[in-house]
Amino acid sequence: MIEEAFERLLAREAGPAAARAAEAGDPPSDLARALVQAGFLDLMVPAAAGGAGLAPPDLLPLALAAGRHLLPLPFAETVVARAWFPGALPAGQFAVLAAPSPLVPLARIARHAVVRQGDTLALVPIEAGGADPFRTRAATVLEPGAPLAKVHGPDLEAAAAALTAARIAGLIEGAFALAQAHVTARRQFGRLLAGFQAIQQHMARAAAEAVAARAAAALAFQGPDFTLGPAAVAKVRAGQAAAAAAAILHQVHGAIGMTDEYDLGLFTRRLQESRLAFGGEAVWARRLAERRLAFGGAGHAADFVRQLGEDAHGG
Amino acid sequence: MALANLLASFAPACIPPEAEALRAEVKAFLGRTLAGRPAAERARTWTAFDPEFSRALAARGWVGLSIPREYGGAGLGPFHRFVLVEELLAAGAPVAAHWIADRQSAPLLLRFGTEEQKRRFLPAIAKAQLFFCIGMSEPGAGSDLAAVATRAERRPDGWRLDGRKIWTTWAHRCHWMIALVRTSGGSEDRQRGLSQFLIDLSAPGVTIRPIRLVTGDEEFSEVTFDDVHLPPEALVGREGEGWAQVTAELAFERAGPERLYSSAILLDLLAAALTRRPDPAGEELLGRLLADLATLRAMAVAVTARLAAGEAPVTAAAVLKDLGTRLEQEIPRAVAARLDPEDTDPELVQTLAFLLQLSPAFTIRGGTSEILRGMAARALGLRG
Ligand SMILES: Cc1cc2nc3c(=O)[nH]c(=O)nc-3n(C[C@H](O)[C@H](O)[C@H](O)COP(=O)(O)OP(=O)(O)OC[C@H]3O[C@@H](n4cnc5c(N)ncnc54)[C@H](O)[C@@H]3O)c2cc1C
Repeated sequence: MIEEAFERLLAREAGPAAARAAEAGDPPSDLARALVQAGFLDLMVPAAAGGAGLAPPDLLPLALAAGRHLLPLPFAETVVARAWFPGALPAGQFAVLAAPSPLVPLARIARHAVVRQGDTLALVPIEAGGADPFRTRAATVLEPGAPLAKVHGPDLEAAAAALTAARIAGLIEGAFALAQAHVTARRQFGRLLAGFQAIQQHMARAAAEAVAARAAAALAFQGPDFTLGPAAVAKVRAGQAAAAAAAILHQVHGAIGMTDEYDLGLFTRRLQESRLAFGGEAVWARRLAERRLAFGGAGHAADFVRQLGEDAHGG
Repeated sequence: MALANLLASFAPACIPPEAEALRAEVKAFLGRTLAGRPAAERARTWTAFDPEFSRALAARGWVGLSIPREYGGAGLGPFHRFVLVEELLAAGAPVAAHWIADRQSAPLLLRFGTEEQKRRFLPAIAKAQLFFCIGMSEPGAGSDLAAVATRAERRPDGWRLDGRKIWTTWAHRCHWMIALVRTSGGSEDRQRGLSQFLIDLSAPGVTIRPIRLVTGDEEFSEVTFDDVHLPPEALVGREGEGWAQVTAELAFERAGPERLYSSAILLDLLAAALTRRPDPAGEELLGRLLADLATLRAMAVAVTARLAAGEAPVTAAAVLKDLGTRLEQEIPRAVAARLDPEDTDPELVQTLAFLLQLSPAFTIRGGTSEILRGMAARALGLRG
């Protein structure tokens, strides 16, 4: 139900036009207000602190929808930050998760960030600056202010990777829908592009990557908390899917997909940005391998991947 | 949006605790039974034919696990079978003898067979007394399965069968084949006029000739039917419904963990090599392949949930097999590319050599990747 209400809101208020307005520097204040008023930002705030007390599995469909509809706000990040620091983030304010990263997506739209300070996490006000390489309101430099609150325990890197993977999965779905519409409308050689087997095979490959990206992201959202193993799986596999799907979905579009005016670039710029955010696939792959090597020689690969899933279930 | 339907058929699922409870017992049994088995032997797993091993499993109730109790099975569901199969494959158990019967012949008979067929065959499958093979492909009908030309003609006392099947895995050691053949019309009728039959491979007129694989193993065969008499009760399901039945059968064939784990043993050998000699590039590779494996496993669990709900997730199974076999093929290719000249573990080399030779088959057997993608494209509404 929450999912459908969220989807309806985004279908109405988000999408390419809202994303373009945000890119042009218009703060998406109406969207922000609508999300706040509907209570979406407090979904994971513990019930004791006045929130809905939901868990990552409940957040997943919303995080996917945010990607699919190009929501120009760090929505899932803010939900998580509010859950970690109940009551600390001023009403109506958004936050990003500033794990180590060459760039932090949507940081120019948020006024706050969660940062690591020694072995605690702090919620800090930020001044976002530096470059915005994909023109998406990201920042390469964050100047932190004095902490509003501190917390011990949550895994910032894992959460940032997990949310990024879900964003990727949603973005692939949105880009796929554009390609599907395109290949069933454009004709060449007297027939629809969809009538060519080469195009069908491309689209089937892209659909499979969409499925894999979502499945990988879902692994990272299965438990009560975000943990490093499943988050690494998600970042690696969703990142690969982002690269593969962006390439295929551009290819089936031809030149029109390369124009700024056409919406595909809104998705593929964010897909590439999300791959870079919090480190590329190779870095996360090595983090996963370290865990495999620590797991020891007695267990099989199958045992290792199963145990990752069990960690994710919190069991 | 058709993509949404496909995504929905992969909705995340968990293995229920009662199915998970089976795992420890299976692990303990396999640990005892397969101790000391070399990696290159384990790599053969569901292509290694060992009736004695199959019977040892059957003695524990682990063949025909999902056959109902009244037909001699354990009466457990697809999730129990997933746990069992995952452990068998991970351990590299030689399960080929009963594999096809367990995976697809028994579920097919349960769904479409007569009461008499169920009583006759299912208990014997669960005891690992009868082994089955799949008679789909023919010399002129590979990807284009509707082109099958083997024919069963109706006779007063049943049917007369003529024609030829090929690439039939382990036909030369199996007892029965379930074959897709033409019972009416001609090749222009395509999917219409096809039916499935139970064929006793010891019947007069059946000739089986093993064919050697590039690996040197004799695993599949050519099976010729020359005026073979089939009794009326050899028909499976309804005459003319063969195409719909075979489509459901292929969902069982493609949905299982054997489409992701065929090369997984190399990941263990790679991990062992990296423990001996740390290497950042090797670790990156290991992590990347494991991330893919973990994702595919989650997808396979999701498809198992569809099977458990009584559905035949045909498209989802096709997508899973396409992605799973890509990984199975990539593993030996990538592990070969990083082979360290200073550390040539003979087990690694032997296993790698075997998988490099066999792995082209992964994206051919059970339906080629191109055909699977064609199915996905159709489900996405891109083809008529
Ligand atoms: C190890 C192994 C075990 C097997 N075991 C069995 C078994 O037990 N029982 C059984 O019945 N069969 C079995 N097979 C056969 C298998 O099902 C077929 O090989 C497979 O369906 C492909 O058919 P084919 O070999 O005739 O290739 P073809 O159909 O001739 O295909 C050759 C190439 O052309 C491509 N192609 C064909 N049609 C199209 C199209 N419409 N569009 C695009 N590309 C196309 C294919 O994808 C492939 O790349 C086995 C095969 C192998 C390798």
